[in-house]
Amino acid sequence: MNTKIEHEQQVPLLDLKNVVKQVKTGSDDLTILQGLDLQIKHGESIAIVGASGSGKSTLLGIMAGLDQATSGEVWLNGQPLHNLDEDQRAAVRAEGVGFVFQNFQLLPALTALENVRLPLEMTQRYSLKECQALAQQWLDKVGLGHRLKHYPTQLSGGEQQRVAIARAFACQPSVLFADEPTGNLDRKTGKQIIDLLFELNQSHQTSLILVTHDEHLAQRCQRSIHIDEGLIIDEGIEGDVDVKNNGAEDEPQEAVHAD
Amino acid sequence: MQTKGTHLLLLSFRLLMAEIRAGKMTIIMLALILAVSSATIISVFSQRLDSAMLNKSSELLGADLRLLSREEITPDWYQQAQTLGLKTTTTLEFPSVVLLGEEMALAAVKAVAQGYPLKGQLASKKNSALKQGPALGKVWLEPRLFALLNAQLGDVIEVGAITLEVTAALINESDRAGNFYSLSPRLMMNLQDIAAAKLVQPGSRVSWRMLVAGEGLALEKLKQDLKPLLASHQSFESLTDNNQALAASLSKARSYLSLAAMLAIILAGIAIAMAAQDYARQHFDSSALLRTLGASRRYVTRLYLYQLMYLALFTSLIGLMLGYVGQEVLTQLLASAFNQGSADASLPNAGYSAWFIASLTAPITLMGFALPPLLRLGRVSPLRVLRRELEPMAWNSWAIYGLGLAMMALLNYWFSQNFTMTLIIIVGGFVILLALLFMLQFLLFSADKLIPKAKLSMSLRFAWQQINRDRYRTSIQVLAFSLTLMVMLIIAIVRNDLLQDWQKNLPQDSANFFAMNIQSYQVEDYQQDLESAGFTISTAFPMVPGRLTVINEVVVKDDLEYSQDPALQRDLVLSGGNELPLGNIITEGHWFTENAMAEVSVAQSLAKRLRLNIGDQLVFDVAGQAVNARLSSLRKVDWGSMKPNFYILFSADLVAQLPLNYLTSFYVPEENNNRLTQIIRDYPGITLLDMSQVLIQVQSLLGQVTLAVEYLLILVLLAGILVLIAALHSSLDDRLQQGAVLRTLGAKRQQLQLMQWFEFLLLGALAGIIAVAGAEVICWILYQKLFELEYSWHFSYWFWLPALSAILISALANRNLKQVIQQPPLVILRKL
Repeated sequence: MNTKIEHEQQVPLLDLKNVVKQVKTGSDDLTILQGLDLQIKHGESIAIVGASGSGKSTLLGIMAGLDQATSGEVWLNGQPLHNLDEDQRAAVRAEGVGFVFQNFQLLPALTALENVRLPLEMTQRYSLKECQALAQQWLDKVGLGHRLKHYPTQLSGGEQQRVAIARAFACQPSVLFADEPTGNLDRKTGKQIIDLLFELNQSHQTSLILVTHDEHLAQRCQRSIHIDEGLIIDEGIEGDVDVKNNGAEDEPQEAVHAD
Repeated sequence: MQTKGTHLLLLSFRLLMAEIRAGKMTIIMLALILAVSSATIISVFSQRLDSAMLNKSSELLGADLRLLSREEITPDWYQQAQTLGLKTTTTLEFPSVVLLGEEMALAAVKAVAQGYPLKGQLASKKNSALKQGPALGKVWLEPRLFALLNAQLGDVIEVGAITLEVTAALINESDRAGNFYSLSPRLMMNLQDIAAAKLVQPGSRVSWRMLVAGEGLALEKLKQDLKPLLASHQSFESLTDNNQALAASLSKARSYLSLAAMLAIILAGIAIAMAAQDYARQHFDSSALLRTLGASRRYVTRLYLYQLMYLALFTSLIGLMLGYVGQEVLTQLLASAFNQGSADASLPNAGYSAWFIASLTAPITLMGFALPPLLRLGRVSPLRVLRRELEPMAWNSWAIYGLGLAMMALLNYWFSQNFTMTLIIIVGGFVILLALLFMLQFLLFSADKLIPKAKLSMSLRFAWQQINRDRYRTSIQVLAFSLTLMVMLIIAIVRNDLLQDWQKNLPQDSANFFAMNIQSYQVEDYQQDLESAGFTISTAFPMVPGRLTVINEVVVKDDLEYSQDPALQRDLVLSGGNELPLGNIITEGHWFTENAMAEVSVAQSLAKRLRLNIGDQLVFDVAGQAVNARLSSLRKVDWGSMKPNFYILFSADLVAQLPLNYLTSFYVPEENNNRLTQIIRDYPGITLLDMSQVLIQVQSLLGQVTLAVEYLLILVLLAGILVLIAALHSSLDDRLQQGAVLRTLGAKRQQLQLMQWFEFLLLGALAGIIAVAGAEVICWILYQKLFELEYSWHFSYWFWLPALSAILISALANRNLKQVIQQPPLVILRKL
């Protein structure tokens, strides 16, 4: 335990050094991230806010190892993601990264229980019976103990997101990435989901990195960073969020864009 | 703890099960099962049919091997056969005059030893399956001989020096095939009575036959051992052409079966390809998700590969079982027709090879059609979970089609063992479709320029834009539709023409009696008497027995290859004259002119075997006279017809020199059979051959084969519908999204409905035109190269098929259409 705590004190969860992301659009290079530096500590919750096209989602993808930066360094849990190939990064994700998405991303052919069981099975740490029991526990925790055999299409949006949360926490990740987790939900359901997310985040000491438009959601994080045109223009602490960026107007655009 | 391999195997099994349960694999599975079952049915069924045909040949010989000798065969040879584990028996044949009171007649006597017949059947009027020949002191007569002698059962007739009691009317003797021009009515007696009858003197013209039956290798060994020992008057006999009517019809039926199976597999392959593509596209998200959950590329790829493996396994098992049932049904149908009169009404079983080929169908089809799209799943970027528009790179489309075609060609060749057919279907079909597709692109392009779009109604305009906007996508859809329709059309056209061909060759009043040895002065009277008895008669042909002895100065007897040909080992029925017999087609050279001198026309099949060319000099031995003739034409002879067919036809000048008599055929209705007796008595010298049993057998067999053909047609049509559904399903997502967007923009349901209807009607009509064009070309080639049928173009199809296809496709699409129209747009947009 001691060494883990020491490690966590010395090494940040995430360390981004001068991260640049460019993409080719026709003949031009479009720079999405222009040399970002960012450190996130273990157990920290952080919101990334910004207008559509500001580079939020790109940043999330790079931090989680889903995408590669054009230049710069990305250290996740002490692992140099920038030096790893796709499959090595996959191994890092399998070790300790969880995801929650705006569009839930449940496998349509699998039941709620099977969706949660899947990542557990993939770790090969448990027997199928144990996977089954663990998945059931997690679904109980998110309040879906009575919906185990339902398919995603038979669940409401809020319920689907709960399954996704149960799936994300089932493998006990050290960090959870959430991309607009309430984007497809109404306000009330969204709030319940967020409550659940923070509650689990705290009780399991997981770091939480979420991309959002929702200022209320951002306020609940310990820290929020504001991105504009690929640069961090404002790093606020808890409750101190820049609200100038027309979040409300952006929302529908973002939704269409995501589709 | 499980090892990594078994863990993945189990996980992929569970995932596949979930997919099956959720109905995502239905089309792929149905298509695979259909492919495997049709493969099983055809490969097993045709093998059983082949062995049955082989058995049939043995029946017609009365044995597996038959040795003809002019003198009694030494017992040593029998012993040699028996030590090899073979069964043997003996027959002795010669013509003899037999007496009953005042009446006398020339009979073809056949004396049989114990054990006869080794293969095939004997049947009397009372007993349909006699196990052996007449007992000592008894004799059996053919009905014609009863008529000639005015005999009754129980009469005692004189045969040489002894008297024998008539105990049965022999109506079927399956090994009767032989030189049928010399057939007198049959008298069958016991071989042990021969010595007492004192009928066979040294030097009598008699035919001894050693009949041998048993296992193939032993037979071959015996044949090799005896060959060097044979005297000049001894030879092994093979099957004559009397069986050809049956063989010709059945070989066409077999070609049809292979064709049907091949097409069913191709269709299933297309359905699998489309379903797999669909499946892969639907699983890009899942695959991306697995990657974010930490799965490596290799892991994801293997996960899906294992699923394919399981799929092949399941569907093979189910397909093999269904196929087993299917081929049993077909076999049962045919068995009764094949083994008429025999107690054992089943066909021989197929070997392992047939099952082996069938069980490879699923893996090969999956490899050819499902592998490329599914391998893409391993290449999905995990970033897709954030950015839906990211799609994995597709394989080079030539590589995909190439792989599919190669696998199909392999499978098809394997099945049909017919290189021509494989080539026509795979290469021909591919080239023709490609050409038609290019034409379609061009058509779309020029039509787009010509159509005054501003004048069209909104729905029609939108439908046209939809088709023309993405010509590649349209082409793929039209390709799927037209390929399917084309295959369905080919199989239906071939079926119709095949059945017509059979009916044409074997009409209800096909000749069931052949009359031979009619002297030229008798011909007219005889024909008249037949007609007044109410029989349907046909032309009389001149005929004379003769043998081809020299080909271009090479003596047949001395040539290794020539002397082996069955048609040269015996006398042939030669004919000739100025008129080309009905149903014969000149394929090379020209038919005799009015003043042709010493020319001969040879059947194409024989000429091919002997490698004869126009201009070759042939010498025939006709009644001891050498006849020289120049080969001036080759003819295609329709052996499938029950008409007199000849290998050799002489020009009129040669015919005039020869000691001719005549041959004719006529139809005797069952109820007028008794009128024949008087005619037989009026013309005792004329030989009559009763073909009615053979005819009934051929007709019933063809009836059953026809039924088999119909079942296969249904199988192919089912596969076709499956493909159409798969094709429509694969474009459903796009249509749902488009419909939802349009409806959010305010399109009315009716507009949407009209738009989609127009689009599918248009697509269907286009596909219909391409299908007719393709089917006509492929059928034309198939008929030339395979079925030897005349092809007539189907002009009316060009009108009604596009219409029909437009309606069919719109009707099938209607199911999807309802979803597009009825679901609230938000639900659809959310799902996407």
